[in-house]
Amino acid sequence: MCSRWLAVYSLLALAGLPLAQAATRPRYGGVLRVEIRENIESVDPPDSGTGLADLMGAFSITRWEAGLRATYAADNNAPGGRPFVDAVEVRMGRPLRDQSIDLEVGKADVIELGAGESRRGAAGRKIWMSAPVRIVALVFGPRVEDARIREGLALAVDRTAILNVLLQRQGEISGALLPQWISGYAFLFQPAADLGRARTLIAAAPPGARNLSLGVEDGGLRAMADRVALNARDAGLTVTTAPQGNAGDVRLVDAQVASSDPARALAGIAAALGLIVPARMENAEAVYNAERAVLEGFRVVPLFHLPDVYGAGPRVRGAAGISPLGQWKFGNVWLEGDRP
Amino acid sequence: MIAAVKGWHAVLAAVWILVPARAWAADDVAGAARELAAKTALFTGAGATISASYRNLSSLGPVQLEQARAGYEAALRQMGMRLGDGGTVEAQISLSENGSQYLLIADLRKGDDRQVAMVEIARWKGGPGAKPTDSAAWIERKVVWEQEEQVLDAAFPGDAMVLLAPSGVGIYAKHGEQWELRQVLSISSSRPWPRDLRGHLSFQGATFRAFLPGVTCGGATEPEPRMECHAGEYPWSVESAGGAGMSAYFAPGRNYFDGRLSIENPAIHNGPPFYSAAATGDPRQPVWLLALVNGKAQVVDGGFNVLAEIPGWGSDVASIETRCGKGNQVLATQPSDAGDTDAVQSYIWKDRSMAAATPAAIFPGPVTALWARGGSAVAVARDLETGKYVVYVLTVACGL
Repeated sequence: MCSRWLAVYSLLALAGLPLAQAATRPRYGGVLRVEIRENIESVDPPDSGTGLADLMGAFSITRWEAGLRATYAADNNAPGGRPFVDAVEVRMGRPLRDQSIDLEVGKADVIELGAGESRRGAAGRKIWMSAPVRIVALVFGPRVEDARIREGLALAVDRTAILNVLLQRQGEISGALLPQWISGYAFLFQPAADLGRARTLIAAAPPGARNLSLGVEDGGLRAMADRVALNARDAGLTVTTAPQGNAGDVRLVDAQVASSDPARALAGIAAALGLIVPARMENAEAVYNAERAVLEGFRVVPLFHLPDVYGAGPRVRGAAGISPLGQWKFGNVWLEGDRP
Repeated sequence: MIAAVKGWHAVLAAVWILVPARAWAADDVAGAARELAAKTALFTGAGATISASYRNLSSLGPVQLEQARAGYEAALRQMGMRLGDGGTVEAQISLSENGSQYLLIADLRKGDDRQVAMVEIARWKGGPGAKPTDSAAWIERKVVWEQEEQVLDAAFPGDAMVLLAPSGVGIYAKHGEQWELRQVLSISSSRPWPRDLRGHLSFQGATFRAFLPGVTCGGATEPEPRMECHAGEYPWSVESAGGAGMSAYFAPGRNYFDGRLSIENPAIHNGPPFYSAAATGDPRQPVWLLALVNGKAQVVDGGFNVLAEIPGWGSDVASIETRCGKGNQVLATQPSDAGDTDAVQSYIWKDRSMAAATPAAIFPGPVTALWARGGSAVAVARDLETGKYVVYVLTVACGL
C-alpha cells in the first residue's frame, strides 16, 4: 500500500529540483488558466498553505481580486529557472460542475476534480493525483463528554460503504491521522466497524447524551455527513446535520497534510483540528506516541485519507503539475501551441 | 562473571549494548532488529516466551524481512528470551516505510497491555543497474554511465570520459572496466539555470569548450585538467557529422537557439528559433535539418532555402556517420511528454524527404540530450523508474 504510493511518487519527490523535461522540449509562453472552488476573501493573496501560495517563488502576483481571480506572472529569476508559462490566471469560487464544463469547452486548463470524476476521462484530459493528503475526520466538541457516545459513533460509521459509493474508491480508509505513506505506522490504528458494540455503548449512555448535531465545514462533505448521520441512527444516536456555518456537537472536517515529515505533518493536522501534540517529536516512535495520545478517548475519529485530484486540459504538457502533497508545481508545466 | 549476570541484569546489560545512546536511524535491517529486540525486552521482562510473527509492508524484499527475523530472534535469545507458540507475549513485527525511512515496528501485547516499539532504518541509496541494451535494435545503444545529477552532454576524448552537468565538468579516467572520477571543474552562474537546462561540449584533441545558457567555458583535459568560464552570449558549436559545422546563438534563460546561426562562414543568418540541428546527405554538400520550436522539423540547404517540412518529430536531432547507404543519417527523438518513455530513430535524406533508416530504439524515459559525436552520438535519458540520468553512446549498426 505504502510502496505503491512511494513508487508512483518517487520521481515527484524531486519536485523541488528542476527536472530536465521531455523529448518534446517544453515551450515558453502562454497563460495557464486554473479554476478552484475556494473563495479566498483575504485582502492579500495567501502566503501559506496549499494552492495559490505554492505559486510564490516561481511567479509573482500581479493582480488580486479577493474571492474572484488572481493573476501571477512568471519570475525571470525564479529559483529553478523561469517557469515555462508566462502567467497563471486563477478563477476562484467555481463550483466543480462549472469547472468540468470549462475544461471541456477549453475555457480552463487546470481544474479540481471531485470524487469519482477521475474515472470519467475525456479525450486528451490528464489527471494529476496527489498521494492521500487530506484527512477527513469527526471532531467532537467539549459538549460531548461521554466517551461511550464518541466511541459508539466511531464504531458505527460504515467507512467501506462511504468509500465505495460516495468517494468512488478514491482514497483510503484510515484510523490514523497521518497517512501510511508519511508515517509508516498508520496500519497500527486499524479502524473498527462494530455496530453491535456501538449500540451497546450508546444504549449505556444517558438518553440526553444521544442527541447530537453534526457540523459540516465543507459543502463537499455534506453527502458524507448525511451518511454518517444515517449510520449513527442505526446505532441508537439521533444525529441532525447542522446548517452551514454552525459548528455542531461534532464536526466533519477535512484537513490538509502540509509536510511529508511525520512530526511536522502531525503538528500541522493537530493545529488544524484544534488538538494538542508535543512541540518536539524526535523520532518515529515519539510521533506515534503523540498520535496515539491524541486519538485515545475518541475526541477525534479519523475516517479517510483522500488525494487531491486535478484535471488538466489537452494543451497542458510536461511533468505533473502537483507534488505528492498536492502542492502546485505549475512552473514545470508548459502549454502546447504557444510560441516564444 | 558472565554467569552472575542473570535475569533483569542480563536484559539491562543487553539493552545497554544494543540500544544506541542517540535516537538516530539504524544503518541496516540487522542492526535495527537488534535494537527492536532490546526494546521488546524492556516490555516483556526477563525470561519471557515470545510468539513472534512477521509481515512486510515495505518495498523491501523477503531477504530484508528474513534479516529482520533472524536478527530479532537472535538478539532476543541472547537476552535470555524464549521464542515459541503460545508465549505470554505476542509480537507482531512489521517492516514498513515512510517517505524518508524504513521502520521496523513491534506491536507487543501481554494480556491487556499493549506497547508499540519502533526503530528507524536509514534508506540506502542505489537503484537497479542500467537497463540492458536492446540487442535487436538497429540503433545500438551502449550504456556508459548513470548518475543522479542531470547530464547535459558527454564526450570521450582519448581515453577519458567528460561529462557536462549543471554543477560542472567531470573528467573521468578508465581503470579496467570502470570509469573513475579524476576531477570536477565547477561551473557557476550568476542567474538561476533555466528549467530544462541544456549544455554542449565541443572537443578538439584535449581542449574543449563547454556551452551553457549565458556561460561559455574553455579548458583542457591534459596534461592537467583546467577550465575557465565567462558569462556572456557566445555562439555554440553545433557540430555535425562529416566535418560540416554550424554555430548558433542560444536564447538566454530558455531551452532553444534563438535562430541566429552560421554555417561554415561568419555571416549570420536569422531564422526561426530551433531546439537542435543536424546535417545529412552528401557530406560535401549537406542539407540541414532544424528541429523548430513550433514542433516541425525543417530541412534547409546551405543557402537556408527550405526544402521540406516534417511534422511529428521530437525536439532533438543529431547527425551520425554510418557505413550504410550514402551520406550521414540523422537521429531524431520522438514527440513525447516528460513522463513518457522515448525513442530514437535514424533517418536519411532521400528523394527530398526524410526516410526512416532504422527501427526506433526505445529508451526508459525521455531523452533529455542528443548530440553528434562523429561516428556515434551521445544520448542522455532520464530513467523513469530510477530517476537517474543514463548516458548512452549510439551507433547505427546497418546490418551489412
